[in-house]
Amino acid sequence: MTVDDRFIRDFRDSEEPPAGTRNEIVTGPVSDWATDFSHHEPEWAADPYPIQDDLRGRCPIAHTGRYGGGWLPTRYEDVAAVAYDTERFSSRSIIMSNYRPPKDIAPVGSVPPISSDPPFHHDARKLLLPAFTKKAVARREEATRAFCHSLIDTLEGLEVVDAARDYAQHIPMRVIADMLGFPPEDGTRFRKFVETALESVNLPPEERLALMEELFGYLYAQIRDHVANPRDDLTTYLVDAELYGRKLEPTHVAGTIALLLIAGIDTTWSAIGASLWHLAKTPADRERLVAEPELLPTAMEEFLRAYAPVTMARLVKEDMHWRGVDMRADDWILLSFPAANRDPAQFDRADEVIIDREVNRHVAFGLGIHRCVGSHLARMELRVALEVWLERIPVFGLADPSAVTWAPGQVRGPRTLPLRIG
Amino acid sequence: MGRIAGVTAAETRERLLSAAADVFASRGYDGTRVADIAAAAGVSNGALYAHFGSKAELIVAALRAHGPRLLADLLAADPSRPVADLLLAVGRKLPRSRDARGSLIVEALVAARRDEDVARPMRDYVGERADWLSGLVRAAQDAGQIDPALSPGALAQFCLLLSMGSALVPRDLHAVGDEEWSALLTRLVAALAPTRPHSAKGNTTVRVQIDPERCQGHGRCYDLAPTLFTEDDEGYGQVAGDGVVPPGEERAARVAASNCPERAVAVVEEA
Repeated sequence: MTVDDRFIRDFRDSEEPPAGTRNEIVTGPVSDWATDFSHHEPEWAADPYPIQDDLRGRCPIAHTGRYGGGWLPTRYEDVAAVAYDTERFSSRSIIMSNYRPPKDIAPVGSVPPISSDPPFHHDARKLLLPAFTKKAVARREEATRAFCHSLIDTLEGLEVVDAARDYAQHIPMRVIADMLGFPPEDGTRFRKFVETALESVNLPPEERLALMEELFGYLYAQIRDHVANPRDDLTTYLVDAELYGRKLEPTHVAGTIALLLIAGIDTTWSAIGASLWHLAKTPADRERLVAEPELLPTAMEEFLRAYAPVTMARLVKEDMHWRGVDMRADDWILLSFPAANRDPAQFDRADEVIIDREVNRHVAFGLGIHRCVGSHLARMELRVALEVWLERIPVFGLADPSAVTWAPGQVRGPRTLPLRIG
Repeated sequence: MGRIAGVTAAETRERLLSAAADVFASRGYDGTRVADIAAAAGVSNGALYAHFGSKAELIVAALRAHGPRLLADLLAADPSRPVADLLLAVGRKLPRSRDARGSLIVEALVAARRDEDVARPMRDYVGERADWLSGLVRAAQDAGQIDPALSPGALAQFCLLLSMGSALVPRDLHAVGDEEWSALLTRLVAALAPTRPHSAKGNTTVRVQIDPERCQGHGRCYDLAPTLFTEDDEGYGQVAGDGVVPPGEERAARVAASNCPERAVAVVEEA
């Protein structure tokens, strides 16, 4: 048996900066959301829904010159059309930033399968699906519940707690660390990686690159440890996995692990936080869920609709006239599932949170071939996190509404959430 | 005083309703004084109030007595006539042009927008008409004349809209001829027929289906209706067994279908 030496060198060891195109970074207050939008400005982070509703009414596909040019569809039907159209919209990069990777990175992309296009996408995704079925993730429910209880134990005796920092963030961190076989105490590093990938898109390129190298440096160290000491987890599974009769490229293994780590954490952290935020400010809904715990699965879907954390991005493949606007090749599309979820043409009383909404075709986990691979895991974590919280802390409220902060960018959720529980 | 010599109370009531229907239809609710109706009926105001407590009560009572009743009349004339055939006949007879009494329903609906005293009894009235129509549709479905997959409430609503709309927007406004109108209605009514003939209720089978081309493994179907759907090894939805929905689980089947983000789940009824 030959030694697996795929991971000896970091793929980023090269002295050359990555190929691709960079554009001038533009930040600061938005002049007109229809022509100059930016999802990284504080106004958007604090409350993007009135902005999206306004654009849906008057635009409905907004444009920006920032990030080298991009579009923001706000209607459900336009979001769905982009999500389904992999011919004209590429997933070559799915984070709208000031850097576009080179065209030849497609159809694999840097973090497969989310960054992949057909036909490669299907095969890369197929490798992951069995580990993320509802049945597979159900095996983690008991441990997740015990962990949630242990977090609540640490809050005992406190009057005010930060539900985002002290509770929500730790749950997906622990679950994904267990699945990947990473040290559970590395959680604080994971938080930095999440902020690197998703919130630092307007940093100077060399700073962003250095942060990315730190992330991949960590991942390669973990992978090498798994090559030396194989175990029953997703990292070893990916190290051993084969596609088209051969082991995966090292960049594929590391990219997929980066994806699972980043996308597995801040999304669910955001969903748990946003749900607790809603319940903290809506006593009637909180009391009803405490009295009727069987309603939680339905209520949870409504939280996912109304506060969908995730927005994706696409790159336009060729110049084209699309639904009334002139798109150029390599324009970004900010694919806002949150905006689609609040389109009154698709949902009755779209701007209200109705915790017993029975018909709820929301798209919090996307549409089409890129449906969130971790959606069953996220639902399990969200349900268990809310069940345990409501069971242990049935009475709570916002300690200081003005102190709540939200992550900007493509994954939005509370990052500071002071709740009065005493 | 209060009674015309030689006229029974029932006759007085009928004269009042007939007069009310005419006066409301021509002058509108706000433009009508109760005294106008009493005068048109040839009775005193006091006699009117002996029968009707208010103007609001009077307009809705007039509507019940003299409002649209084409379908009811046709049905009374031939109770065995197929409902689809009846609907076609009524559709053809919907007014080509505005007629005086036909405006009564319009005036009552307009008044109900502004006046809660009219709105309350009008809700009852429209609700009763919708229930009655739904009942006819259901009977037609049981008799295998109309596709049981259609919602009786939705079809009743559609018929009510046509009937009320025709009072507001008569066909001659846009020069739609009888033949064109008839041809359109015939097509619509044909579309109501069961996909297979004579599928009397009780013999229909409700079945769930998943379109594998559309399914992306969101899992809403097996979350919401775990007895009807299951997941495969990759999380894609699968129909459990032969897909036949046991009695009592139709609702779960429909909830599952209506929550699929990809619209991959369908509930079908077969003979």
